[in-house]
Amino acid sequence: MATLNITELDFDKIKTNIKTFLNTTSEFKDYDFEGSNLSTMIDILAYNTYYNGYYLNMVSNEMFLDSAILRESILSRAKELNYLPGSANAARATVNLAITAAGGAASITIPKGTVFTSTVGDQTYTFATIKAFTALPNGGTYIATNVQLFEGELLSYTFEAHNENTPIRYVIPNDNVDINNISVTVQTSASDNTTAPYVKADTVFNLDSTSQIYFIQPFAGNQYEIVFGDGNFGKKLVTGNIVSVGYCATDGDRPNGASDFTYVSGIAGASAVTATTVSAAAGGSFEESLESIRFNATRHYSTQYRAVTANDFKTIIEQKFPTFVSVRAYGGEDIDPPQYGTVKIAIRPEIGEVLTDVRKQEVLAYLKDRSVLSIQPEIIDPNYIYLNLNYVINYDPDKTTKSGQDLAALVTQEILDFGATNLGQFNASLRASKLAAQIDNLDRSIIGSGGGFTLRKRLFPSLNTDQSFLIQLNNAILATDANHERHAGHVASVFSSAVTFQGESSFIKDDGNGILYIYSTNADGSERILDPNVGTVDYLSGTISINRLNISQYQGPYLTISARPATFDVVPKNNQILLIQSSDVVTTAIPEQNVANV
Amino acid sequence: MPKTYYRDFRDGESHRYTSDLIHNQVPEFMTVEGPVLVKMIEEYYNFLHTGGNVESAGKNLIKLNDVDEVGEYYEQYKRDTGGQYTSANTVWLDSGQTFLNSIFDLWRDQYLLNFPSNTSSFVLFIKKVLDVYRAKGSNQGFEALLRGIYGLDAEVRNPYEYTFKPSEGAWRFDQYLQAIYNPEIEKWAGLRIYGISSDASAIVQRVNKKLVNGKLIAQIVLTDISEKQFEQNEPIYTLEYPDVSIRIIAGIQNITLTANGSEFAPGDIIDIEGNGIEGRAVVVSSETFNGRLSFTLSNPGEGYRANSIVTVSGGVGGSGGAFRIGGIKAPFRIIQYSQDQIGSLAANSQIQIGEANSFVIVANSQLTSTQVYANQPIAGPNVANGLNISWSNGSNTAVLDADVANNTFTNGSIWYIGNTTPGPSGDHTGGAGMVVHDYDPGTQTITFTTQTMAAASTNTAIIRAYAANTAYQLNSNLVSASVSSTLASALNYDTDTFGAIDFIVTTETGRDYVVAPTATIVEPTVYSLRIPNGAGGYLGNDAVVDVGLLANNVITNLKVLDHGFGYTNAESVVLRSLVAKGTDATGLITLGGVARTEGGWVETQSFPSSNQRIHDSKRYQAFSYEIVTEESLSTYKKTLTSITHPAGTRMFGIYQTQETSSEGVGDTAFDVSSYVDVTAGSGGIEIANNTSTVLGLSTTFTDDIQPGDILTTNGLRFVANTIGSNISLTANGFVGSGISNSGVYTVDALTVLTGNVSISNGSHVITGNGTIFTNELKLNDVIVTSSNVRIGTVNAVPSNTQVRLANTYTGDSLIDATNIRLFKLRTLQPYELSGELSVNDGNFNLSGQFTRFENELQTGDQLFLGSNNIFVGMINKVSSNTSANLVQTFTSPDGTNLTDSVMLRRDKVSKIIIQS
Repeated sequence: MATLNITELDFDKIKTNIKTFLNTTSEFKDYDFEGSNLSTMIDILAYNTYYNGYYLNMVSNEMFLDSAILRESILSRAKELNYLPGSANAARATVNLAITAAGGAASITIPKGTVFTSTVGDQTYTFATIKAFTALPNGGTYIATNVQLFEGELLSYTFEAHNENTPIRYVIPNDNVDINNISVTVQTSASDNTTAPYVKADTVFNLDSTSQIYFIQPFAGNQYEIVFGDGNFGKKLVTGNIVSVGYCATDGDRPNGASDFTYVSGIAGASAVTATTVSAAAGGSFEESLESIRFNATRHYSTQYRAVTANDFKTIIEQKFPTFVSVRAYGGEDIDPPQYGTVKIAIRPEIGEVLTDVRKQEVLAYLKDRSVLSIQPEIIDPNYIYLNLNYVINYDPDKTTKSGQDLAALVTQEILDFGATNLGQFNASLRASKLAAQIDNLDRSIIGSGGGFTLRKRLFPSLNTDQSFLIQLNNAILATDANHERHAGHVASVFSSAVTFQGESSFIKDDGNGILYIYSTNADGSERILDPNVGTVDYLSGTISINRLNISQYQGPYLTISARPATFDVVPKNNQILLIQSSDVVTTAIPEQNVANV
Repeated sequence: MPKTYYRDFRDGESHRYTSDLIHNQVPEFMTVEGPVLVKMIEEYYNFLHTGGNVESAGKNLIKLNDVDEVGEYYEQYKRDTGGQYTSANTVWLDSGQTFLNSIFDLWRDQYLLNFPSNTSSFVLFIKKVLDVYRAKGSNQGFEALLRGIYGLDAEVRNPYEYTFKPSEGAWRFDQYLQAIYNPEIEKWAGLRIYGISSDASAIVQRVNKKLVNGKLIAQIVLTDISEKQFEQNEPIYTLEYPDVSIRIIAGIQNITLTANGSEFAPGDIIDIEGNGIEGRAVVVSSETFNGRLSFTLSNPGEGYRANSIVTVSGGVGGSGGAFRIGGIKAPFRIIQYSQDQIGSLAANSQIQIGEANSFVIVANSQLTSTQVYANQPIAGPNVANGLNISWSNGSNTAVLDADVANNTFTNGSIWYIGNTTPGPSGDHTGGAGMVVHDYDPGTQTITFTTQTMAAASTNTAIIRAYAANTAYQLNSNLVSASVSSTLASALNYDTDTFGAIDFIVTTETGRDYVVAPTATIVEPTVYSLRIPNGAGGYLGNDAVVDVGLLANNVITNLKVLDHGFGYTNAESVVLRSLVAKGTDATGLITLGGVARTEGGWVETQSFPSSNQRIHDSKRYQAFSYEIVTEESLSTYKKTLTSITHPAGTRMFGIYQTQETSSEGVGDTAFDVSSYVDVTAGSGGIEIANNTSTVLGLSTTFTDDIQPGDILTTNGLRFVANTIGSNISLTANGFVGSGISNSGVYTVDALTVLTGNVSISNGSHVITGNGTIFTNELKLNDVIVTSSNVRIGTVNAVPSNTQVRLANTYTGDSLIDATNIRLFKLRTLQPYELSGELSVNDGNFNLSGQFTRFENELQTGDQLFLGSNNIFVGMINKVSSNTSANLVQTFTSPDGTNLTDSVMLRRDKVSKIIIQS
């Protein structure tokens, strides 16, 4: 965040400046301002100057988006840029409901506002449906599938439109409102119950004087204000209209992870309701942070609702879909081989590893009206690369009461935290030195640390059929044994988890010369090559090609192909995301006295 | 004290300062008892409102949000301080710049995302950045950013335009009418015109002027043309300007071939040479005859019937040519007399039906005359009334007084002696007649079998064949069965119809003839009667058939491609192949309808050419663009990528530097005096400092010096301008220190050209009379009039009597002017081009005359006409000194073509590097 100093704020300099100035006047040119009385007066004047200057600087800083501190100021600047700061988002969960009800109705309606509860930690949260679902009979119960529950309390607020003299402002009186789930209806008057639904508009495009729309803009604090049309763009309210706003007040990200839902109320005639979780609550968040507003408002301004540059694509998607964990867009010209005329958009969703097809289509539909006509946006899945870390710390047992196991667990958690904070996003690189520094500073007893890591790709091959895989790590692979013959103990740069090949438990690894082969291990530890060539490794580009692999089994839930990077920094490219998972971290703590023996 | 950057925001208002209020704000006793304190407080507040301190800054806080105010404030202060770093203002300038940068950074972070901090047009972009954002991805967006950020001129191109695209062939041609040019027609652009008589209509797209054979023709280019056709010479009008009506010259509706020429092949382009210009046709089909014959009936003759005998004979090298009579016209019937009824007619006597001295004319088997004559003698100078003869009474011989054909008289034929009265009443022979015994053509003597008798009054008379010139009245149709007159019963009507040959039909052209044979047509029945045709021949043998030996590749069909300008209706034109190989064809023009140009491809991207590239999946593909500018791509790539580069496309940078200058092009502003070389020399005149007045000491300027002469003295040369007196003149081209009594000077008179010259105002061609230009002038010589008015710079010297200038002459027209002088050799500037340029509007191809393209142009150069800075185009390829083509078609500002234009200049490309 930038700061602006428009007046001097160094007290001593202020004092010096005052004295210097007075010395230039004919009245005080011969005065000694170091005298106690005058010095005291100068101090007073300097303090006064300082206080005023400080205030002035603060005021001036509030005038710019990048230097403002007060939320109101930032929102005001964001408003100038036509940027709508993100509100709180309600966590969403999906459940299947089994409803027991008497009466043999053909179906049972699960109305909007049906309430459930769930607990995260020791806190209970309320979830509700924000639209109606239908349960159909199945055996002795009624079943409704994929019912979406939103965390928060469903509230409503009513305004009476007043346009003359002192028009009212339609401010939603809640700091935690989720503006993505607002419903607005306008009743003609108190005596006329005719109501009309109004929909949210993001731009003035395609609006006319009869469009029943509303805009949302930030108000003071975390509150939002509804703005109706001015009779030119959008229908203008008339005095006496009754505006009813339904909204959801949420608890932000706290309910994320809620997975056990208990029915509370809302379904008429239900004697019992059982909720089976399809997906746990996710996507809940608090209002957009000030830093995020600063970051996004200018980008939003530069896009002008157009998706032209790669940054534009990223910005408008993040604006429209704020719950996505990470978005990256890049032109087809940056792909090898190039795919001109396309823009690849990689999205890491808030839930799961890949975006569902439905959500992809939703994103593409949103882009359709904003992107260049002949350029085809394409949503692609993230390419997850897992970091497998084997870390060793040396510690001084005299400086800690923690055991080596405790320290190892501490370091493991630190590594996981590091991954959660610094990785997991597109473009988020692993800087090994920073990780090492964090670990070294983790506990005063840690006197040194080191370790190695590999880049690991998870594959899910079909069994008993020829398959080929192309793994592009986009980071150089360490060529460890370039002039080496294949032999037992050969340190491979690329290696796999165990597979069953030709009926034998075996492995894949490289020979140091860019060839992958499959081998099994004899009783004496020597290698027996089963297939001398199942692929190639391009160490420089980090490309691993596995050709016509035919295995009958692999160990674990997936086949892993690991590669030792050539450098300690790993920079993901395009749709790659680096992840550290707890199962991939092994930490060993070695007390100092044992170091010499290691 | 050092100045600080807090000094005065640009405050033009008369704010009251707090210090001014102090004395009213403190208790009175303080002003009495503590004036120093009060003064100190006042000075303190003076301090606050000076130097941009709290009060000053606070008062101007609102202006912090005004980018113009802040920027101008800083600039103003720099001006106030002289803009120089001095000990007095260094602190302020340094900290002021820091402050300004801080403000600008805040604005940049807020509005100019990804713009570099040294953006040239920072202040303007703050205010206009939405224009840039909204134009992102467009050519305008790129160009504005490069100019606004880096101060670079740039051009954004789309290489895909030059990529070979097989599917884009589309032909377009202009359709137009012509008329004698009338400035009022210019108003018709965009309006619908109507034909008065045809009711045809069309919309006028534009009106071009065209000089055709000295006449200014308006080319009225049309679209949305109605189905109804405009007519030749039809008046047309518009509803908007009903008072303006012109007659149109229609397009070429048809060309009827009158000679097919030879050695034409389908597809050959033909110039239509006639009264108009630019007309072109294409050979649709031609035929190769391989020595075949053509039969042309040039004289239909008379006395033929369909089965008359046709004979083709002679010729060399071929065989098989044949034809037949296709039809008979103007038929008639032959009537043969009965000797029993009419008597024995002499040989070659004829039966004539109809008017005297003309043969029977029968139409539809009907007689058109009611008189029938026995035939007259067939030969002799006086055949109309018989033959004059003289004889001696009682002699058997008589002498004709004029030559008579030998076969007029045959032995046994009977002649009567009488007078000029036709019929028996004129018979002096007593009705028996004289029987010819012998006839000697050499002596013109006829010997009868009986003696002659005495004439009534003279021994001269005329003789007539039996029944000659006897008229018989016929009152009915001779061919009808009811004819019952004596004559009718004496005549034998031939059942066949005879007549002139209507047409002939070639039944076999034959082949391989080298020399054509001859053809005859004879109707023996009629010919045997030897009926004269009045033209020296006989019926039944007087038809003439020309036998032609057909050439190879003759035009059999052609199509008008470009209707051109100025052709007239029914005009005979020569059709000449652009690549002449055989003989020209000829034809007759029929005008009608709307004309059209030869046209051109709407896109030329489906044709291999030097302009088109093969798709390379990199630069030449649909999603790429290239930025041409004088800066390396690395300078701007990152910035443009983040601000305006459309994702999915590939950016190329073309680093290109070029020399640009138009100063002095074509020598239009050429100052004669400024081009005088300063060379060493000696002299003897006096010139004061910084004056153009030359004083002579004991000189005779008026005798020795002419205006324009070069004076040389003391290493200086200058040009005499006006001669004031023997001791005073003014000099052009002299600027510098004076010369004090140099003592000696020399005079170099300019070379006077031989002969007289003429040139019109606005022309660049000088014609000479008695001149020897090729001996006296060279390229880039400058020539001036006798009064030192510059005529121009020599661009080319085609002959001793023609000089072509590099500029258009703009003085009074010269006619046989004398004393034209060669001033000096001028060096062609690097940006100037030799020769004259021609290029058509909408065309790629340049043709030069006296040009040296190979030496003076290269790919990438931009070509201009220096006279009015018309941009001709960027050079794509130089083929020869007189031929080059452009990257894009030439777009004429006024739609006219450039013809032999001079004053050419180029912006020279000196370096091109393609980066990506």
